Amino acid sequence: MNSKNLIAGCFIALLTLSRPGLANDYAYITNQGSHDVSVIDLGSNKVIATIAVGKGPVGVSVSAAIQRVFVSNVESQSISVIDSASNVMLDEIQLSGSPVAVAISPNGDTLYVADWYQDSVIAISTQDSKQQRKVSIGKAPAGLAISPDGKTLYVSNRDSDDIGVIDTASMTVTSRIPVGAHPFGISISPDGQHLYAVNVHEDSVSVIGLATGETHKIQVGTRPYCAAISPDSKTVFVTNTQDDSVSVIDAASRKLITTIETGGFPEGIDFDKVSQRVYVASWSDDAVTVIDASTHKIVDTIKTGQQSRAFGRFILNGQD
Amino acid sequence: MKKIFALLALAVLPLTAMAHGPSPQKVDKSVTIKAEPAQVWAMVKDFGNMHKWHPNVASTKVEKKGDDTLRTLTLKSGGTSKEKLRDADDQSMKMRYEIVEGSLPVADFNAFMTVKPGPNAGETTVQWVARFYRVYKLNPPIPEGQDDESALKAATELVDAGLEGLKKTLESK
Repeated sequence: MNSKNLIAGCFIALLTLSRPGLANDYAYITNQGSHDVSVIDLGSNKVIATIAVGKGPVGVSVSAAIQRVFVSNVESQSISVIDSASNVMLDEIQLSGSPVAVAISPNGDTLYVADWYQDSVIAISTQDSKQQRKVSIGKAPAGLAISPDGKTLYVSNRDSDDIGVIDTASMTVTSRIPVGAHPFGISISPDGQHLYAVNVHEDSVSVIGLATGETHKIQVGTRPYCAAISPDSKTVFVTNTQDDSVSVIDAASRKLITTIETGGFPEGIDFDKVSQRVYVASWSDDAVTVIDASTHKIVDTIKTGQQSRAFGRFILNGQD
Repeated sequence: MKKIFALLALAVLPLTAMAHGPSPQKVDKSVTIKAEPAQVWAMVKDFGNMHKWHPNVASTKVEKKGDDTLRTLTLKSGGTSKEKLRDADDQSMKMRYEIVEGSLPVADFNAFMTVKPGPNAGETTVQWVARFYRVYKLNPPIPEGQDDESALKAATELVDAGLEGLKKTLESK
């Protein structure tokens, strides 16, 4: 590298380090094997706290509105509640079934939990966790996604190969949309137009037009798991667990742009709009791979706890 | 009344305490071998000759099915394991495979082995990582021998014995 390039490189490095806005941008990574959550400061890409939670944590959902992080503990059948201002665990909500995905409503009032033991979705008041409503759904509900207006909740029924659509006001199932085999992670584009459901046993992603009902399938890598969508809704990133890669898809054309090699067994994935980076939990490396969303290059690898999964929306931007 | 509900809840709790869908299990082991990486990689990637270094494998039969390479291991304990090669990359010295069917008490078993230069010159570190589930995919009660512990025990034995055998075979060359 010549000196001009070196100076330019340092300048770019400084630019990326000094993030706009204030601190309190964090990624909350659930570690299934060490029963804790690694809190990554997105400014420095360093783990600044490790919070012990229940046993076998998998699902995660963050809320800037109420400064809370919710984590599903599959093996202790509970939800851990973390205060994102202090990164301290506040509460553990015991459930009778077994939670997988958790999703918080946009206003922070309601936490939705997919219970794959009792084939139901539970709505829990974040003010009073004893206030719960429940609706029966398909077999082995796994992933959850909520519409930007908070009115509609989508759930992937892993063993019924469909998506349940729930009206959140009445907590009733209004329809079920067939997708591919074994849907797991689901995500809604920030513009609220499309739902992406990852079909694990079919190496594909189903795209559902939420206004039109039109569905398409996009082939991705082997045993895909989860999807994250860029803030402009134009690009979709999908983890391929058995290829150790992320497929990058152009949303408009539904065509593959590129495939990025990541850490081993990538699972949870989320997009940090402040740094324009994609964070990927690597289950077999006990780490998080950080990808630059425009260059598609890996810019960092961060060691976390054991068997990182981070299933859900795990990036919290303080200024939201 | 509230007290009665609390008591009822306590009474019901133990029945459901073990209830959950399966979590993926992991075995991640490494060994350092006194041999050159290229020599170790040649043995690791040789998909049809696992019996040459794995003490639990009696014989290996390789077959091609279209583009797929499959091997059937006959285990000394009696059972078999049919496995598919996913890829073997000479550049990164990493091979990946999965179990298609067999007698080991695991499900959705996939694994990789990587070969890297070891801590000292002339040494090699081999890492073997496996991900799998227990056989019984549904919620409790779990039949005996199909639980997480059985799956973890079988996979740990496979990997431990394999790495030890690989080291022994290469170091006695």
